[in-house]
Amino acid sequence: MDTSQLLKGVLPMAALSVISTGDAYGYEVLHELRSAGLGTVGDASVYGTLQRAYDAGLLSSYLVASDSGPSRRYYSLTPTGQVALKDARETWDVFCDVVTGLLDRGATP
Amino acid sequence: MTTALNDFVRQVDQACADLPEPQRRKLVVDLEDHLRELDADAIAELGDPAAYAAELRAALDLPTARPVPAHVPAYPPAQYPPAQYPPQKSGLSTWIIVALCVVGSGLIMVVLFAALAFFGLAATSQHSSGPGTGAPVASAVPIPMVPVPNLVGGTQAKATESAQAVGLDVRVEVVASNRPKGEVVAQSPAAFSQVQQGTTVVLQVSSGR
Repeated sequence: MDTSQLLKGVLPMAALSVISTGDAYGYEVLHELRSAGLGTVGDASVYGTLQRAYDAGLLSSYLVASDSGPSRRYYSLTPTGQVALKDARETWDVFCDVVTGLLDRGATP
Repeated sequence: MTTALNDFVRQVDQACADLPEPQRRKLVVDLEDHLRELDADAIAELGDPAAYAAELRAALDLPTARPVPAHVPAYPPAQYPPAQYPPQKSGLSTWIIVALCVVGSGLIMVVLFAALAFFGLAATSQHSSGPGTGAPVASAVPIPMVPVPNLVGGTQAKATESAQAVGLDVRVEVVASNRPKGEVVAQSPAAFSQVQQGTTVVLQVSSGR
């Protein structure tokens, strides 16, 4: 199954969730997502998702100087972002139950 | 910025040449900041710039690329002026321009009405009483030029009203943007350019989030 469309739908929620465990910079979020099992996720998708969430006021950011190379932009959840993540979680739980229920009722080949 | 990074950003920029100018500039400037954080290995892993651009546009909820003429120049990232969008005009000069537009368009409409009425009457009388009362033809009146108002930053309704006030037609394209729903985020032709009356101004209006 092609997971790219599924990924697009859940990526904002997944990225917010990573940041909710502690402020992180873009590349760190990408690595967290990949090591959690979303191995196919690309930098452009994660960066674009973070940028959108930032533009929508779900994330705030600050620069932190790095020992190696340029400073890094760390993201943290805003109160709006926390609410959005909570909402997304509830929607996801319901959605998951519904789809799993449908699949369970379907004929398994 | 390293050459590899520079080239990469330039190619992403080219793949976004169809986006409205401010949107594209913001995308590229933000992307440069992001990519500077990556080390050389990570940049090598990014793959094909065109594919990266397509993936980024999808993630940003921007429309997929439309082909553009090859001659559209890419902006060398080093030469970006400081970001400034939307352009801010002082309130006073904006009002003076609006006032001039309104007065100008009023005069133009009076002239047009007179010409149309005259031509219409002449045509009617020509029809009823035969030839001999030929009037100057309306097409001899040159189409007046009008300045395009600055419509970015206002609501769709207000922008439409302002454009129509100076005799311009309006076409609306809804685009994804983080600006409030209904706000005009871009316009074409640009503000303050001189165009013929009746020209269609394309407004890009935010769909909101």
